[in-house]
Amino acid sequence: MPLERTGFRQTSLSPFPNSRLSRSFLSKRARKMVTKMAHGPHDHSQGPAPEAVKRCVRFQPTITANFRSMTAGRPDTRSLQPFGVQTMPASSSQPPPVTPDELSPLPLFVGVPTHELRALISMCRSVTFAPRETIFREGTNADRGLLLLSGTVRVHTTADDREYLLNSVAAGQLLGESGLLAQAEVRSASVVAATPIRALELTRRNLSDLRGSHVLAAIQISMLNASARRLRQTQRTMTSILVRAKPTAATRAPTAHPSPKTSAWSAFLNALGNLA
Amino acid sequence: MTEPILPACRKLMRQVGILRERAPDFARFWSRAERIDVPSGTVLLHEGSPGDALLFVYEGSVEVRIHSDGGSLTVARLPAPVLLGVTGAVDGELRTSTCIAETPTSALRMRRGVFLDAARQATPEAELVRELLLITMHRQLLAATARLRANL
Repeated sequence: MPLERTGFRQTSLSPFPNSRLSRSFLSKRARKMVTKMAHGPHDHSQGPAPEAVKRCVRFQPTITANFRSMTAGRPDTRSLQPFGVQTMPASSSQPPPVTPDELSPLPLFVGVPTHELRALISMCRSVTFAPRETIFREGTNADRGLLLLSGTVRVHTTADDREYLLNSVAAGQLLGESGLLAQAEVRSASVVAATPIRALELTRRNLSDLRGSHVLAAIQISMLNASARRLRQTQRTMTSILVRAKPTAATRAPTAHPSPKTSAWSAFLNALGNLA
Repeated sequence: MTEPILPACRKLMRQVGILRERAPDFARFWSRAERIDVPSGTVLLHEGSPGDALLFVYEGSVEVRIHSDGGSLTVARLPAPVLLGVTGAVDGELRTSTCIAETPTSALRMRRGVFLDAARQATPEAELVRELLLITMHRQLLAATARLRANL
């Protein structure tokens, strides 16, 4: 049975149709489903499609978005999650193009030449998210960030099966920028859209392509400011714990060979000291 | 000024995970800094003072103290090479700890205005320093967050 009869357009599934590489881009479950449809007894002309076909068609935009995302940035098979589950489900409808006029008023880009903003727009994907849509999920691979153009997001983390709201991020700021660092690994918090979101997606490859530009300097300075803000918050929290928990420790230096009981405390102090 | 600090620059690059070959770029970034050589016991940064400079300690060792319950508590001992006052240099807010030279120490001191001006440039030196600071701060944040989670 030809693939077309399954209700699937092969060009939507893969940027490299009919190649061995295209198969590797599909998750195992998706391949199995397509194979089942291609060789199964169902004939589209005979009546409604079975559940498997309906599910494939339902997730087709998801798969297409994944391929677009992968081909726009550094190909990374880890970003293709099991079928129907994705880290960053960008909206399937094509968002309106971003213009330099939208970027230039942002404090982040003050003094950046327009032609560099145009270059940034041309190399980055614009994405939209609906309210309550998960943009980044805690524990997933961190390989990209977002520049919020409109809307607000909520950042939260989970501990002891409870969700804790960490903060909100508004338009004009970078989001998930730790994913742009070469040494970043996984997301430390989840990000959910609080309102309709419009954003530019930045990848490490984008930053690498922007080397030698003022727009890269602007983005990295903004990342430095965000990191400084977070370090201050963390340091304040750690200092308050220190003052509450160890009032008698004042003037005492960490011992050279701490006992197992105090080694965690020494590590806490070291982490605090390194924030200096 | 570049030559004497090159070994320390290479060591810092290695610690952060950046190619050692980029050490000369890092050294060049400090061309507008002033050199300070201090005996042990000298206070390099004061807790509560404005974040008005960034320090690159390339020789010696530094003790980090914070005020706690009327006294002071040593929270870390940092051997060279190390960058001090990064957060203050970026955001200009008050210092949150005191750094004291534990041994005779040599450092380069760059005023915040000079640092921000140099860091905003679209040059390889500035890109390297921004990248290095981002990695350093990210690591500090990860370590601190892990400790916080463990202690809460």
